[in-house]
Amino acid sequence: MPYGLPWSEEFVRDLSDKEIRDEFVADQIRLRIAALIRALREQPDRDWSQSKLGQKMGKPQSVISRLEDPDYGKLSLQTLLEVAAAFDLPLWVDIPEWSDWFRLIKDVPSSKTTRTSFDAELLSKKLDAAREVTSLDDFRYRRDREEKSKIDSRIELVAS
Amino acid sequence: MTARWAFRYYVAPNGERDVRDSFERGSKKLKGAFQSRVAWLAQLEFREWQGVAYKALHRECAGLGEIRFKADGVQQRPVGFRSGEAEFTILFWAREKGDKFVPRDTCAIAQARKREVESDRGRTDALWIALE
Repeated sequence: MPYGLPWSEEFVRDLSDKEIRDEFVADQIRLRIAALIRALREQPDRDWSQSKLGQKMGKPQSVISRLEDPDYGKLSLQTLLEVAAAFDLPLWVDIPEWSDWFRLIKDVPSSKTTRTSFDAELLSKKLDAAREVTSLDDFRYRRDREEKSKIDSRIELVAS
Repeated sequence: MTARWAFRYYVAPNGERDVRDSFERGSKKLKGAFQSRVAWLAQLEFREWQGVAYKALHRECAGLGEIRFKADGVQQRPVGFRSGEAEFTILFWAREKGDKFVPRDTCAIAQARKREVESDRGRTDALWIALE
């Protein structure tokens, strides 16, 4: 396995042909979108049918069925934004480094995948908790620096 | 991190490897898509397979399942079975047209091969796609 990559060297080498590689990337993204939409729709606290998601998006059930078909390759960014909005979730699109991409595709959406819709109160609590962790980290960093500085001073004193 | 699953494929007593031949004869798009579907399934627990890339089969195909993808304008259906705790063996590479397998006797071929493989593991080889 190449250093830092979750896939074997041989696996990555099989993708050295550009046309194969391009299709591999496209298929992984199509699979991911299809599986993610299905997982979020079936998430226990939603348990939406395809029709229910369709209602939220103002589209017929047949459109949702197509979105959950990884062989349907004509998904637009606008449709993705509409899907995310229907779940009250944000959307993130990126063009990453290959090494990062290979790491990302190891995280396959499954029935265990859950995402929480926008909740201002919950988000505020999470932000507060994150701030506390950052403050604690800052405190530890400053304390460690002060300790190191004291030790350095003693070493200098002993050395002189 | 390693793949959860190992994949194998059927090799005939005369050494013929029609599963691999079907792959090799395909376009580069077919090769990229197949590698993608196998890599996808390899990361999932078996109970999660039944989703976007795999379907368990019934009736004359009971005990078998198909990897599902479209390439070269055709629904590709490599048919196989769970041959071990974390191992899946592809027995036959079928296609699907109008909700029917092509060839029509896909289930009979795959079931006969499954029996062969179950009594002789030498009838299989590791899949040519290295996952780990």
